[in-house]
Amino acid sequence: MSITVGPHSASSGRLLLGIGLISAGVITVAACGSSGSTGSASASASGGSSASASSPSAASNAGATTSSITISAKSVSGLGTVLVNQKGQTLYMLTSEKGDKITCTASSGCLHAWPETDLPGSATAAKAGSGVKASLLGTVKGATGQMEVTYNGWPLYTFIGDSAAGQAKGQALTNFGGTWYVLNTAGNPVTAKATASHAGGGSSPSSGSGGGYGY
Amino acid sequence: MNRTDRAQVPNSADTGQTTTHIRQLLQALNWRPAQIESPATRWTVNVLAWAGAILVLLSGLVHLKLYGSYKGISVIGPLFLAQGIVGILLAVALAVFRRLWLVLGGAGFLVATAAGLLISVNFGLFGFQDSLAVPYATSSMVEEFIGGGVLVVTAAIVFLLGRKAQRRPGSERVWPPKS
Repeated sequence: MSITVGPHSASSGRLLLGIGLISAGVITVAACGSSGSTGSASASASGGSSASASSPSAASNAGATTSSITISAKSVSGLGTVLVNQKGQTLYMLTSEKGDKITCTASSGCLHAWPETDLPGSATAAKAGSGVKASLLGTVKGATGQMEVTYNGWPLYTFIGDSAAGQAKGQALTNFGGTWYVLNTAGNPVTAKATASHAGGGSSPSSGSGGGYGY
Repeated sequence: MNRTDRAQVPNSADTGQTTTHIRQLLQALNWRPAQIESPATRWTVNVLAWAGAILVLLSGLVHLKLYGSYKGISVIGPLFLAQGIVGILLAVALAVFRRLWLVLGGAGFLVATAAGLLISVNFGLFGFQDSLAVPYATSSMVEEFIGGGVLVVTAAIVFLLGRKAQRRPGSERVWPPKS
């Protein structure tokens, strides 16, 4: 009572072929992995760092080659005028960090996805660019140990998924203990969902105190 | 034969037939491409199974690589590690043995992984909401859906041709069972 089974004489050959194909797959993946790492680093570098994205502390040194960091305001489609860094990259706050409380840490993996906006070593304060109120700018000691820029008491971050200026792909994402929102020039979280990834538009955003839910 | 007797006889036959169906289905899960008579078809199915195994392996390796970034996240981090280890073991087993249950397992594994990402992106999973904008997310999801499709096709061919072989005159078993 057995089903018909093909000849087994070539089974060892097929086994070797299978192993060979798997090896080829491993090599392909390794090649993809190296190019992917480069892509990952590029994404982080566009956020203002020349370092590898695999090092949160290095990745957080936004603008390390400049004397300071300039926080400006820029229109992002669907979100209105929001804060950006000197590279034009959208800046975010985390709802669980109200009042300079740091909850985004390297150990949780948070800083890999959300690099801090840190002051370079020689700077003592961030510069207020167009549309930004200098009185709302401040600093707090970030999870990396460096001074992190804050706005209206919210520590500022970039998002690894934003590969170009004007994108806000991290808007309204809920992870790492809170929800991530962009900030308007008044220093309040913009809780609207982004409708497009490129700058432009200028529709009125809905602003609020940043609800969200933790985990 | 009264009414009760008439009701009991079909029930007993149904139970026996169901048991036969289940047994034969379980036996069918052990089928493999080697049972296919046509060398060209057998070779094609083997190549499809190996391609699926490579895509399962790729998914596992990507998750192991990403584990470095996700390991601190509650539940999600350990799931990335488990996915990576299971993916590699499943890929090797699939490439070497190519049994129908392994092919179906590989398909389920890939589709479940991609579906998990989509759920995490759209609704959040274990309190963590992911994004398709982060490195590897979209590419791995597409790769997993393609791999799942390849393995579903592979499983369908193995099953249909296996069933056809069972129906041939002279075969000791018939699929589906005669009622």
